[in-house]
Amino acid sequence: MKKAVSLLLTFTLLIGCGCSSASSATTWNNVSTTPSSNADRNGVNALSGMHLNILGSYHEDMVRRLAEMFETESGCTVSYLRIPTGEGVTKLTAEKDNPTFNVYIGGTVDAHESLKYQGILAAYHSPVENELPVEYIDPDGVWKAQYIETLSIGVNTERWEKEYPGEKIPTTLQDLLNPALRGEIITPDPSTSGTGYTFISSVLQLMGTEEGWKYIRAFNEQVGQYTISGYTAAEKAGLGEYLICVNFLADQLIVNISGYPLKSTVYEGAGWSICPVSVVSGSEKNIAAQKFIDFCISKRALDALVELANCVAVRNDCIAPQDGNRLSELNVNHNYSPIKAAADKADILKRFSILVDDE
Amino acid sequence: MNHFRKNEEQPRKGSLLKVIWLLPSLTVVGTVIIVLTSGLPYNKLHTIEDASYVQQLSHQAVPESLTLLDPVWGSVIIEQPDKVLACYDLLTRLPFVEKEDKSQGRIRNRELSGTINFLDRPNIHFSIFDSVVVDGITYGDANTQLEASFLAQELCEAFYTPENLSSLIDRYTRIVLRTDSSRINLSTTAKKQLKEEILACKLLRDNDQLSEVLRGKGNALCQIEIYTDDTQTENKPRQIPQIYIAVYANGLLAVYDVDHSVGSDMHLLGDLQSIHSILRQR
Repeated sequence: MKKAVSLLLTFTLLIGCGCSSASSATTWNNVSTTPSSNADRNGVNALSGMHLNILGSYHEDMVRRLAEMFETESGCTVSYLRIPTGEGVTKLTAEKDNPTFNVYIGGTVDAHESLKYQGILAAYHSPVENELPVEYIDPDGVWKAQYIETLSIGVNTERWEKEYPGEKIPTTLQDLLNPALRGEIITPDPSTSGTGYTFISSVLQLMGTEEGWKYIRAFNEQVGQYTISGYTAAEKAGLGEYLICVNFLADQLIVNISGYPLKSTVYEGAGWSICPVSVVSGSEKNIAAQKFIDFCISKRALDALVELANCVAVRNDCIAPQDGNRLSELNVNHNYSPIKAAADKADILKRFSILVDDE
Repeated sequence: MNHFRKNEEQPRKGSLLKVIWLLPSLTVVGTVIIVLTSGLPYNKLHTIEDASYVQQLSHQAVPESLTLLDPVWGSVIIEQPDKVLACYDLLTRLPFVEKEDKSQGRIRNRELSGTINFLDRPNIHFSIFDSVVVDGITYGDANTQLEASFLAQELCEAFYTPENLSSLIDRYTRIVLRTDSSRINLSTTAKKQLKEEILACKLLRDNDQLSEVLRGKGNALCQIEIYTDDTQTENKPRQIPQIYIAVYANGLLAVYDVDHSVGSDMHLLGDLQSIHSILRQR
């Protein structure tokens, strides 16, 4: 009898311990950190309960749109921050050992290349990248292009016709050095803006180092204002605050389509860049980051960007920009290498900084 | 004699085993008895003598609302508890800084200021620009600056509504209707009509609808320019609007904040009859 009572009490104790262990296991499984369970689900809200932090360096409305579309489609909550390319590189570099962001989207490819060399961006092979032309995918597997941007000279034709009636509008790099235009040019700052850096690096690749720096020094004397972001220059020229802007064509087209009198010319030998997306190191195995990159290079994401920002998507099945052309139709410097521009960036910016500080 | 000694050893072993099993068993049984009979406060209603005092304490501790102020967009009041509490939470855990760290760059392009409003305790005043300033003191390190950027960006969504846009249109604000060939300063009556039409617009959030409208927009018919700052300075001889709205034939209104300068700030769908009427007359 006594043995029976002892055994019964012992059995009760064991059952109690077993129940609490079972409930802990259930709780752990609900937290759902197993990638395969999410990846196997093809339905809506497959990434419910997950969160993604995006750092973006193109227009905020573009970052917002992609974030909202992805949030709706996947169920993953998203936070994003939009800052100019140069600041984006600085921020990601500063956080190298403890990154806040899971993905970096936008900016120019030289920024992604320079972050790649520092190990701040990681390789991820997306199943969707097979749908992109191979020349727009990083051979190291880090960045994947979304769209292409080309430099352009934008002129406020309303002001030009009033102030220079009968004169031909500037369409070449040499035209911009006309002393009459001193103080009337607005352009992005190469140290903060990917657009601005693309301009000076493309001038150097086009003209060679010596002639290129001579040109940049002379051009600097014509500039009335350097802006932090690329888009600001187009907006202020369109609104008439400045006569001429030098920045990416897509930004100028947005202003023009909004109804402001900005005439764009892709000048001979114009530089261009690729606008890519990448996973930040530390998030290579993060399913939400992977799915977001897949989404960013999908047709529906790129169509959304073209609708909003008039850019030239790299995918051949995307819609064409309103009033825009394909890259092959533009007068750009086809020998320009954004990858070389990335490799030379630190030296070029250092020399540019000395040049503008001397003025 | 030997048999007697054997019997003495066996009872000792048996007693030891009993103790080993008995102690934990008694513990369990005893606990169960205590819980069932002791009157621990489960499933019982407890009345706090001075309920109004406790309520007052809880109201003092909980922020009620958040007032945000932007130099161009004016002010908005946010009452959603999650946003108010997120702001309060951030501001109350910011570390004090002896020296501002400007290497991280500005948090925002334009100063955003605000007040967290409480029922019965002093409000908290803050601003987010180069850094976070709370009641006149600078706070925040690089990590919290990032959080402040996220938070400010989210809070500022409250400015981008048809209601807030229409509130900018009043008799004190210069509103210009711009086309390729003309600039028309809107009269007080025209501004009043425009204000009502903008208030009736729909904010486009649904992606499919936004896509459809963007693809069908064509070129803009005109722009509505809002000059919230009417002063001209030496550095800026040519005055430009602070906000402009590109108006398209399919009803799309794309709103741009010039200082913000990062693309459009919101898309609305609406019928601006008063504007179309003016355009037809020209």
